[in-house]
Formats: sequence, structure tokens, C-alpha cells
Amino acid sequence: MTYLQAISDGLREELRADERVFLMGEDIAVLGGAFKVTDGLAAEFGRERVIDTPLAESAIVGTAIGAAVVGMRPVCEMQFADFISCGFDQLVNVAGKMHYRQRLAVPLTIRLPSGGGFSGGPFHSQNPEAWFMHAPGLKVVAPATASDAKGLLIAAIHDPNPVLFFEHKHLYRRIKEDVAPGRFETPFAARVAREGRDLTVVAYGAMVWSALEATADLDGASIEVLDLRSLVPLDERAILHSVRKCSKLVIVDEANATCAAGAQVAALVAEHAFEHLDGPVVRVATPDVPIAFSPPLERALLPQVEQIKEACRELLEY
Amino acid sequence: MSSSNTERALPEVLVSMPQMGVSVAEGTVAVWHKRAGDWVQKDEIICEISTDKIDTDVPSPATGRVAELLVAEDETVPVGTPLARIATDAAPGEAHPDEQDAATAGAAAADAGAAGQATPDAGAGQGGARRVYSPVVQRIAAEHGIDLTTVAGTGRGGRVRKQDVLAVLATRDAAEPHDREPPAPPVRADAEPAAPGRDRTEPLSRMRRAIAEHMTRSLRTAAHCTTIVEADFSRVEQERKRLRSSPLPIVARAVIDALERHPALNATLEGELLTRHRNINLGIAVSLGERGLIVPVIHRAQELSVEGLAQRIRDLARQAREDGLTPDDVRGGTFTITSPGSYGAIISTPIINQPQVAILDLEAIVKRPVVVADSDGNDAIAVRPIAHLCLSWDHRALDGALAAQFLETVRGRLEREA
Amino acid sequence: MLHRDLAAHLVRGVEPERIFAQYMGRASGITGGRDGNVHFGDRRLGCVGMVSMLPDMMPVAAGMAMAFKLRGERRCALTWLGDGATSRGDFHEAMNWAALQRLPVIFVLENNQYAYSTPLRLQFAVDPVERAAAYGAVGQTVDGNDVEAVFAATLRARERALDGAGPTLIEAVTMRMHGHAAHDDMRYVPAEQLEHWRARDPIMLQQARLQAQGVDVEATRNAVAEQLDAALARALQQPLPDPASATEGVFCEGEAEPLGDGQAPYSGYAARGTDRV
Repeated sequence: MTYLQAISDGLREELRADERVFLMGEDIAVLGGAFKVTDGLAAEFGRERVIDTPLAESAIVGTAIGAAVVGMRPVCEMQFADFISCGFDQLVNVAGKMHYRQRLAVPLTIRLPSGGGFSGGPFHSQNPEAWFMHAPGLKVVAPATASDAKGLLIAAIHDPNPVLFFEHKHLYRRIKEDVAPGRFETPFAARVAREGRDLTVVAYGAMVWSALEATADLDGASIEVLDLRSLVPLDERAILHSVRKCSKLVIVDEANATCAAGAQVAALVAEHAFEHLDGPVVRVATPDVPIAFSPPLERALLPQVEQIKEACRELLEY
Repeated sequence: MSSSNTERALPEVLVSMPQMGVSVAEGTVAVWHKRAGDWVQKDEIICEISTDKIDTDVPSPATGRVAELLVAEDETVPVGTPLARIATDAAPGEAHPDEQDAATAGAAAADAGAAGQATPDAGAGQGGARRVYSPVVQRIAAEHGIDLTTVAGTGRGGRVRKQDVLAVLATRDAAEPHDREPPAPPVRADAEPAAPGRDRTEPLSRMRRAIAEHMTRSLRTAAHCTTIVEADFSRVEQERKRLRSSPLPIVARAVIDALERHPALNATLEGELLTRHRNINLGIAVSLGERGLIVPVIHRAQELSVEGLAQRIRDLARQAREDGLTPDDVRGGTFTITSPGSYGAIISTPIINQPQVAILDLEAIVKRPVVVADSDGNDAIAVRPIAHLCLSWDHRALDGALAAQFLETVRGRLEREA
Repeated sequence: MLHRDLAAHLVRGVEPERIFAQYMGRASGITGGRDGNVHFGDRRLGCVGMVSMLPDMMPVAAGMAMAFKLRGERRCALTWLGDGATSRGDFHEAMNWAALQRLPVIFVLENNQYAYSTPLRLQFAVDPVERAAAYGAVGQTVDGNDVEAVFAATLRARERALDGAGPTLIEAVTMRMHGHAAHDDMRYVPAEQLEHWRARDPIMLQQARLQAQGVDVEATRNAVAEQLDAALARALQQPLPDPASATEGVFCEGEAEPLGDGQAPYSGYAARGTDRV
């Protein structure tokens, strides 16, 4: 099952099991979604539960909040994660503050196809996870594997809070694996993608695969790759555990470097694992530049396997 | 710290007078830390400059050999003026006499000046910097009383790395193994000192004390009864091969189904208040070896499939062993499963996890001859994997018939529907 | 229902004492000191607290209405906004969405002539109530200072909503008689404009109407004042929130409890059977 099919499967399981669940988004019913994630769902569950909406992201998020507070379990799709900026106010000011202000839960899931690597250009390639990490009251998850895509999505739908589910477009059809049937939840916690002793690479989403490739054979060094899976809550224990073991840390971010998730990881380690460090914390991230369209420009911006390899090698030698 | 984009290697890089603020147009070279021919690391301080407002260090923009100093000390030049050229296609260890020292000095190390040459964070002034150690190296050295100036460094430019101090420690431990044993736990004043071959008396650990208190209180509180059934695990064995898991999640799912049918067992009894719980919060006993036992809880377990349960059990067991459970992970249980059967025991009478009203014990799955009926209804002897399900229950909250019915439901699920 | 209209909360049954405590940032206020003034909603009474960006509540109300419609409930959502809110995108998105899906929702536009200091003529070229038709919704203007007229208009909008006829935009024309907030001396409002509206005070109008029917308004007024004095005295006794609790409750940790049903025990209007607002 591909990463994309795993997401579809998760949606189907929840639609079958819980009548409160319904889907909303642009072009998701008749067309089956721009990426075909919701293909066939309107036929199975009807247009009342798989709703084609107007092109109005603020209203998609806003109406989902309204439905959620009266007991529904809406799952919205942003056609591209980039478009969530149009719904920013509803998420940050309405959804994120609701429970703190009046103890009213907003069980809402928003799916955000994110990430670059296929010449999507400045408006179809972003990784805006960190915008929401900075806003209280929102959970943020980003699966790297097909199993996690399904398990995290189901956990997001079950969660009584607004959860932003960042699904990486570049993994949709590239990642294929056995995924358990039925309903299961993946916890909002990190996963050790590969165990190691000499150096930790922290990554999430597509960068987990880049990190694994870059460190598969690094002059015999034993490299641990930690897949964060969840950015809010951030699995601080797992990060610190790994860094305390390996004492060297490379953080890979596909997002623009400044204040990205990786910056938070670096700050955490500086605060709580200082006495375990045997070298500077090294970050590999996209510079603070919009993601360019033309392939050589895009490659120059997004972290490449070679770059990660080089960063690890330098730190190992340090 | 390296940032996102590694620079493309150019044969030569210029060091320029930096812009230190919008109102500053020029600066004076105060001190050169390098001379022509010196090896310099990227970000290493190459010179200090001063202006009418501030004094500041200038880091080298690249790693390489200082080819030429273009501005003399005390000379004032406009912002942007090239100060030095760095040849980046050179290699360390050529030409310059100091460098030869540096390459070898790293290992022997007493000469702080030479080793510091390649240490980017080196703080002090001209003529060489002090040797700087990373936090982890300093911590290990302090904990084990290692004099770092005697440690040979294998890192860049002779830097002492974590593995270097660990190597020193390993050599030392090998040489004098008895000194490095962990300190013995505190003993009673009247006890014999611990020695090989003698008895050893020590106080219970905190975890064992908690277990002791909890277990004796439970035995004091509840009217314990234990009911046992035998179940044929043939289907479970097939299913667990498919899932590549232990039988535990399959049994857990069967227990959840049975609890949904017999909600009286998904309950807690506190004093004379009996609460039947809507959610099934399933406790799973996890052994921590000699340290003890802990029971993390899968909240709302009824919402999880077998696969989901398998994953949660794996995660919780891992967290338990890594001391990563939070207080929430062990609170709120409404029923507990324990499975010491992996060590071959076939029957036991578990103690109820208070304030719950029952606990199920899964014992070892053992192949046994059993009487089965063939499709024509004739009895025959067959070899089947069999396990005992031992349910301890609180006679204050329920009666034996219900306990037996519950076990029968679990068994039915395992034998026919697993 | 989502509102900034204080009277609506009272009609819903929020005790005045808790509203005073809310304004004074007390632990017993509706938000327990997490938010101030009229930024609150008692979820048990079916109220979602508004946020400062008022038009944000329009899509939220539309979403509540969507859920009611999906579940086949005879229930509608209602929210308030000001004239200022009509300029933002969410006004457009919600009007379009609600009309498109014929949702049981009512938008009450309190046109009080000014958005802070900005008068209507600097806000829009087309009156918002006239825009309603362009979306396929019903737009209706009502004298915002006539309590009974507003009540009747809302009741009609509610009937339409429950009959599946879609959303209504009610424009209640009124005047903001004091500053945008306590610090605002409102010098930008011409004195004659204030005088004009002062003569049309909604409380005076209703009082005259009730007195004509023989109601002893003075007695009611005294009884209310007494209740309020007592509520204020009690609110003043309430403790301030515990600073240690400041970081609690950002996330819901247990089960999500949905919004309670809306009843309006003090509206004097008995809802029919299972109807809920």
C-alpha cells in the first residue's frame, strides 16, 4: 500500500466506523481530490459526507470549527498546504484558543499536502509546519511512512483537539509498504527509524528518507535516525535520549531554516542536553527563500542527500 | 555551526573588512591571529578589528591556508576592503613548521598552544589559543577524574572527542577492574559488609516498596477468587503469525470484546462505591526485570483494532523500559492483563490491581493432547496449543458465575473468532 | 450561537454575577480569567465565545448550521457582527457558503454607524443588507432600537432557517452611544447625531410601550437593580485566578464534550417541541 493509499484507507476506516466523521475540501468529491486521496469516497459515503466546497479556505476551516464544536469530526483537505495561509486566522485565533478560553473542544483534522521536490514552485511546495508550532492549541503531525500516515491520521481524527496533518506530496506514490488493515492509532511521538551510537540525525516527513539514504553507509559510522512524526507535541524525551546517547546531532529540515521545527529541536538540546554534546548542533535546512520552480534552483534550495552526508561526515570528524 | 548550504569550493577566498553597523564606514586591523602560510579553519578568528564604536573578531569565511595579509596591523581601511587572501585548495600539514607540530601535537597534547590552532572556538589571543573541550568530554572527565591534558585527541586538529575519553576510561577499567565496580547500595548498619560469597542485605528499592505496598493492600482489601479456563490457541497462533506479534494483543482484543459484553468486570470498587466505566482503559503489566513491574494503561482501548493494540503495547513496553512513561500513562486503568507465561509457567493466581475488580493472567501456550470432535462428531485426540486463562476477581463486586461467563466469552473469541 | 451581545447571554441564563466576575478577571468568571469583557460563551448554554475578529464567527456559525443540517436536527445557529465586520473576507465567504448550502443560520448585523471611529460612508459603497440578495440570501433591515421588531424579525428568520429556506442577514440599525471602549471619548461623532439617537433610546421606547400596557416598569427596574447590586457584591468577593493555572487547559485532555443545547429561559418565548436555537 502506498503512502497515499494509506491515507485514503485511514479516511475510509473512520468514515465507516464513526458517523460523526465527514470530509470537506476543494475538488475532493467529484474529482476525488487533486491528488486522488479521496477518490471513490464520495461514491461510497455520499456527497453529504464528502463535501465539495467553494474555494474559500477560511470558510473551510471556520465551518469545520463550527461543526466540530457541536459534536462532529470534520476532516478538511487543503488542496496544498500553502493555501492554509488563507485560513490562518480561523486556526490560530478561533480553533487554537477555544479550549483555553472556554473549555470547548475542537476535534478537527486538517490534511495539508506539503513539501517540494517536483517543481511545484513557490505556492505548491512549502512546509509551513512551524507557523502552527508557534500558535498555542494546535497539534502538528507529519508522517514519513505509510503505516504512520494511516495511524497518525486516525489518531488525529480521534484527538479532541485541532490537529494539522502534514502529508508529504513527494512521498505519496514513492513510499510503499505493508500497512495493517483496520483502525489503529500511531501515538504522537517520535520513532527511531534506525538505531545508532555515534551521531543522531533528527528529521521528519520526506527528510527522514533523505537522512536514511545519506547515512546508510557513512564510513562505517553508526548513525541513529530519529523520525519526529509529531511536532506538537514534540517528543522531547526521545530527542534527548538519543542525543545523550550519541552526543552529536544533525537536524534536517525541509522547511525554511529560521524558527523551523529543527530550530526548536536545537534549542531543546542546548537547554537540556548541553553536557552531553561533543560538537556543535548542526542544521541542514532550506535557506529562507521561497521554493523556486526550475529544477536546478529547487535542488539548490532543498536539502539534498549529499549535503546531509557531508554535514554528518564533518560532525563525525569533529 | 554549518548552515543549510555548503559553499562551493573556490581556489581562493577573500577576507574583507566587515560592515559593523550602518553608520560605520571604516575599521582598523588591531591584531592578526594568523600570518601568511598559516592554516585556518572556517569560522576561526583570523583577526580583530576596531572602529570608533566597537571592537570585534573577524571569523575566517573559509578553511584553507592564509596566502597573504593585505592590510597591516593598525592600518585603517574602508568597509569592504580585502584584508587577506585564503587559498582553499591547499592541504593542511604542508610547508609551515608550526603546522607539523600541530598535526603531531594533537596526540600528545600537552602543548596547548599548538593544539588550539584548529579549534574553532579557541578563545584567547595571539600566539595560540587554549585547548577547548566539549561539554560531554568535560563532564565525563570530571565524573571520572581524568586529566584532559593527558588525553590524546583524534578529532579535527587533535581535538579530544567523547570517544577519546571513553577510550581512556576503558583502558583504565581494564587495568584495575575491581576499583570500577559500581558503589554498593547502602546497607544496614548491623549487616555484614558485602563481599563475594556472603549474604547481602539491602533495603527495598523505591519501586519494590511501591509494589509491596500495593500488593499487600490489594490482598487486604479485595475478596480474591481465581477462576481458570483452558483455551485452544490454534487460531491465535495463526493470527499472531500474520500480525508478527505476540499473542497478547489478540488476547487483549478478545478481553475488550468480553468486557463490552460483561461491563460489570470493567469496573472499579472504592469503599462501597462501584463504578462501571464507559471506556475500557486496559492495563498491561510490563516486567522491568529485577527492577520490578509496571502497568501502563491503554486508554479507550475499545477504539483500537488488534493491530492498533499491538502497536500501543509495543510502544508502552518500550517507554516503560526506557523510563519514559508519564504519570498519565499509568493512571485510570479499568482492567488489567498480565502475561508472565513467556517464562513457561502454566497457572498462577494474580493479585488484583486496585481499585479494579478483576485481572486476567495469560499463561504459557503449551502443546497438549486434547479431545476434539471431527466433522462427523466422533471424538479424537489431537495435539493443540493450549493456554490457561486465570482470572482473579473480587467477590465483593461480582460472583463466580459472572467470572466464568466472562472467561467463556474470552475463550470463545479466541477459539472461534480470533 | 455566538455573540458579542451582552443581553443575549443574560437571556440565555448566564448569571450576572459571573459576567461581573468575567469583566474583573476573576476565577469564577465565565472564562476563569482567560479572556476579558464580552469575549466569552458558556458552552453548557450552547454559546461559543466570540473572538475579537468578529466576522470569524460567521463561518463558525455556518459550520454549526452545517452539522445541524447533516444530522437532520431542527436547530439553527445565530451570530452577531458589526458594520465593520462586513468589510472582511469572512463575511463574504460565510454569506456565500451559507446561501449556497441553504444553511439554517442567522447573521445579525448590528449597524451602529461606526467601526471604532470609521463612519459607514468610509466603509462601503453598497449597504451590506443589499448584498445579501446577491449571495442568494435574504436581507432584512429592522429598527435596532425596537426590541419587539428585532424579536419578530429574528423569529421570522428562524422559521425560514428551520424550514430549509437558508440564511438571513438581519440588519439592526442602531447607534453606538458610547466610545468603542472606555478610553474612547468619541469626539469624532457629531453632537446632533448623538442627540437624534438619544431621543430614540431603546429602553425608553420599550418602557413606554410596557407602561401603556399597564406594566409597573419602575418595580421591575428596582428589582433588577437590586439583583445586579447583589451580583456585583458577590463577584467582588470572588478570588482572582491562581497564577499556577495559567498554562493549563490549552489542549483538551479527555473526551470532547460538545456544545450544550441552547435554551433561552428568560426570553419569554417558548420554543416549540424539539426546536433548538
